[in-house]
Amino acid sequence: MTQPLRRFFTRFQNWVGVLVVFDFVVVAILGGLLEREQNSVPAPGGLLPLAQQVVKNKMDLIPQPPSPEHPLGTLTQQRDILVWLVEGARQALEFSLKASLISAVIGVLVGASSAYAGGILNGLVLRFSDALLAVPLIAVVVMIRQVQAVLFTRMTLNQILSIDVFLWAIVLVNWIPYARLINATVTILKEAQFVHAARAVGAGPGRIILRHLLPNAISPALVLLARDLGWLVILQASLQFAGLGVGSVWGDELLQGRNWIIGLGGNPFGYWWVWLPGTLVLVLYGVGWNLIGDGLDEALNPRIAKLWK
Amino acid sequence: MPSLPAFLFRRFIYILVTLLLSTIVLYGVVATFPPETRAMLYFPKNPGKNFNPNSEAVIINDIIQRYRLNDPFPVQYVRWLGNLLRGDWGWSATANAEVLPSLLRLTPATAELTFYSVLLFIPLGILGGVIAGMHSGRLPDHGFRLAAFLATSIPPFILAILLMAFFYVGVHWFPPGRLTDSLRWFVNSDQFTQYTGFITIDGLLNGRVDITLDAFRHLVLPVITLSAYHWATLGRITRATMIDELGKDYITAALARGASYRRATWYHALRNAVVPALNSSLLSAASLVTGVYIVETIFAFPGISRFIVGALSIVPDVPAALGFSVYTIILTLLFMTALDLLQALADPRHREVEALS
Repeated sequence: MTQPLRRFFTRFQNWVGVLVVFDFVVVAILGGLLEREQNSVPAPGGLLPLAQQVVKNKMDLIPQPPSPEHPLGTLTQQRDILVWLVEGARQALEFSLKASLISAVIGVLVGASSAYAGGILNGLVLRFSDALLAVPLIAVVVMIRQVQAVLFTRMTLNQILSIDVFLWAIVLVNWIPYARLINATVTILKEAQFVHAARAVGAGPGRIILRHLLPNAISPALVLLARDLGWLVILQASLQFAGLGVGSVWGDELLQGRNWIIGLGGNPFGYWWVWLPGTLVLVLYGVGWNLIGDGLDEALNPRIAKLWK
Repeated sequence: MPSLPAFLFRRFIYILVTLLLSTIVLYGVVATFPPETRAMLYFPKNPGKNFNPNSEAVIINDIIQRYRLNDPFPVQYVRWLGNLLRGDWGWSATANAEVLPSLLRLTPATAELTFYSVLLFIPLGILGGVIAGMHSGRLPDHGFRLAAFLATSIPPFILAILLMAFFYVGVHWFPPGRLTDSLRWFVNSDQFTQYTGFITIDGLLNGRVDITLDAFRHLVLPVITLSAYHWATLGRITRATMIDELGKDYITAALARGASYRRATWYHALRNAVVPALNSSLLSAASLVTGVYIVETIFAFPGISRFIVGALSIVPDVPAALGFSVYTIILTLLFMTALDLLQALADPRHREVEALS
């Protein structure tokens, strides 16, 4: 494992990716600490995760340009954009880590164990994943939203909002690529000599899968995981912007500023602070993870690295 | 080697199995709730002043009896499936309309948008990938990789906004929506025959070139937004497989026989690279549908997404949601089948592989 790691850190782009992501982590942690200090009163019922600063004139609807008080300017009703984006970094990291890790673990475990079992069971799992492949995410979101709407009649508002609908919608469709990747590799690997050797000395299926097969089959899944971490946040923001209310804070910032993006007189740079920082943050987050994904790909799968030069 | 009809038959079986499995899952989501909870869906929205809370249980019981919500899951599922097949997809309360006719009415717009996107990104993706793979490590390659990197890094909705800011608000070239208002009135009137539902084609068939041009003007931005990401993915995979193929012995052999590098690329290598490349598009067919939702919403394009907006609020509308979900799955499957057919025509081996698995 040390050799791929060394190879990973010899490339300049990979350092950029790691630094970008590291920045987001630092900002998220610092932002969380500062916020806890600033307003010890929690947001009402946890309903609005956005830090709403108490400002002089809350009814002022026109976004104000950056000033010493608000380094990135304000949005309608004088909400501070910087605070908003920092809050978004925490949300984005938390969401993307949860969503992609849960789906990766499920996918890897299901894929590996069904491939190891083989036969009819594996066929069933593959057909099932084939079927789920044709289910668009939007359909899953729509269905889960129904479940939420039905729960509305039975639960309190806070209980309902504490369920992260989008997270589970993502997990429901996103474990498939992991399962298929691992499945393909394990199906080939399980006939290898070292697996027979392990079985000969008495290792059980669980031990063979976890100790012998997965370490040799996991690398494509790691690459996918890194790319997912960026892509899921972009997807969440996109759906938030399209009015789905899936809990993306960055997407919400852009959605709230929507009317100001195409500024007065058709000059999108008239109110640039409304959309430019949010966009840059979102793009940077995606780019950071993408760079890490590409770097991992190259470091872990040298055959493909040749193709990608 | 199985013939094309046999291949199509296998495809058909796959569609049936997928639809069956996915509808069981979708309906299962709804059916996990106890009948009392599901009865709330049919509960009168405004019981009125004289509503007696004690009679709630009676009403719920009545609803359960009437819609037979107490039956075991398989029975309810089969009944629901039978209704689907008979074309009775239920009544959407939020859209205040029958589910299936509304979806069918909105489909041509979505189909037109998707059709032109696919028409744009598949040839361009393959073209970009082949050119980049041919000149790997040189200027065209770097240019392509930069473009692909940008296309996958910029979120679609931001691309949409920027495009709108410059090309609609800035220079008034490409407006949102599907048609200019005055023309829309004309298109929906009796004087205009809708042969295909694709306004760009119907305009020509009716001899109204201005309508076709107007429809295209409205399509440009949504189509670009929808295609960008898929173009980049397809291009990247084409590029990787092209480099792989160009390094193989049969290319060397072709070059030794006197074929030009150009011919070796476009004739020999491309034929082998195009199948895995198209396969990647096939796997992302479902994400195309999700992309359609985002694009249609942002550009106010009157496609099937419009139907579901009401059901996405906090008001439960299970028939609409179920109908929309089943419908999008059917659309995805149709799209996948079309791509698969394209692959099978391009490479007979593909049919064989499919039959073996």
